[in-house]
Amino acid sequence: MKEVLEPLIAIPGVRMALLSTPDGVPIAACTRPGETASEDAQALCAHVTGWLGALGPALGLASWEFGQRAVLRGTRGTLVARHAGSALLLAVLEPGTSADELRLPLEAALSRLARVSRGTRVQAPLPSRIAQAAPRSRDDKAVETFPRD
Amino acid sequence: MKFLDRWMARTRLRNARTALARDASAENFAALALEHARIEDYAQAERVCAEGLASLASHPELLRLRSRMRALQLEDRARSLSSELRESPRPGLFRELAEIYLECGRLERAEELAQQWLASGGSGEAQWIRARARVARYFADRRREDGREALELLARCEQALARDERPLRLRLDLACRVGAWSESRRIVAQLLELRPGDPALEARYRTYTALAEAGPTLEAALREVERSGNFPEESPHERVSVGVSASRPVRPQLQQLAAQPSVQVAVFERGATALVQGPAGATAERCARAVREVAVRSRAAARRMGLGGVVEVELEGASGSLLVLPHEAGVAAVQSSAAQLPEGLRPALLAIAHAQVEAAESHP
Repeated sequence: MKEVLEPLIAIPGVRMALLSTPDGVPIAACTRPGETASEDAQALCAHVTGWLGALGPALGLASWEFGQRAVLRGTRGTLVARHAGSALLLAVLEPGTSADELRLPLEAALSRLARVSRGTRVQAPLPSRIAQAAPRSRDDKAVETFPRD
Repeated sequence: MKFLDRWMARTRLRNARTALARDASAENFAALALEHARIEDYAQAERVCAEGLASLASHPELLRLRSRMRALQLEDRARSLSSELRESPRPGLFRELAEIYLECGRLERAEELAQQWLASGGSGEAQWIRARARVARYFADRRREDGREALELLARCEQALARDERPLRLRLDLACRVGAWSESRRIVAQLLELRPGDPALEARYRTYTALAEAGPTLEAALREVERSGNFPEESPHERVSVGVSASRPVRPQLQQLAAQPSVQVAVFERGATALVQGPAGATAERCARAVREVAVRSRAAARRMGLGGVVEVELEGASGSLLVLPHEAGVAAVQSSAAQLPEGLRPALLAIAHAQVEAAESHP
């Protein structure tokens, strides 16, 4: 999953990029090269999901639904959260960096994420019973069709 | 950089310079600065922004670009200092890098570096950096725990830097910001021992003596700031008593905002009063409550995430887009049916919030 986040962290002004499950469990985190993850990724993911969870009922009062993208700009930095199917893509920006500048890179990261998860699904091992029934490879099939003497 | 890139960058720079010579507008200054930034010449980009600001004072985009260029230069310097520190750790490098982190607002990183410095034999100056970072963190996040930690670090700093005014002055700043006047008086007395007969300090001592009777203790003041999220000087109760005259210009501005295409709701709230344009009756009331809740939840969340005070909240989804600006004078919000917030809405909403702050300040 690092390959999804690495291009984001290369953008000037991005302090940290994270991928989290919707319930706040971090999947992957990336900081700038040569730096350790000073912010606790786990705590940040938990706080973000807590915040988004608290916004739901608040917005529900007016029957509003704003679950796609959320930006929280503070005096010491900006948080951008983008829903990505069954994951949450997060980026922490330096103060003064515009969240709009990250709109396109985040969409690109989402596409990468979709590609990576599709790739993972294709490469995933088959369940044992199906694996036994299915031919293992083209060579195996060739052997069955044209058995050697 | 490849030859082709360099050649293309030179052409783009020449075009941007020609455009700027023809028309010295903010857009052309910004375009030239961005071209310099593209070839990583951030110092030149900053100079172009400064030149633009000299003729077009306080243009928001140029101001933003200038601070961004400054930040990028500092980031470059921080990167080279970090690698130099790994090779040969020296107090001068620690100090410069920590100052950069403090200037950029990367307070956690500054604290980590100060701890690293302490571990490698740093003394008073390392403590001083650590205390400054924690105090700045407290001023931004206003958590009681940070305040206590900052005071403890300042006490250690005072021991390490005997007869140095800086930690005492910072402690005084903290005590004054939270409104702990008896503690402020005690610190000024300590400062007077270092600078006997200083007229400014003596005047402050007299002021704090008069205020100390009714003021809370330091611990109570820290608790109150954490509870309200405001320092006494920016208490919203003072703003609420501004009166009707100050809030009068809000309604036409909100009406103007609500009349724009795609805008469905425009809200301005102060204290328990809300002005809503767009929906009416119970729906308007629910919208106002939703905006208030979003502002309250976001304030608390931003502090917990270490983002400091909330400047704005922007949400997008099936209902379009929502922009909430929790400001000193109140909360301004606009909801649009467009998937992305239309360009003109943010400045219009900011203008409403700023007008209210100015109105509040002109009616103390």
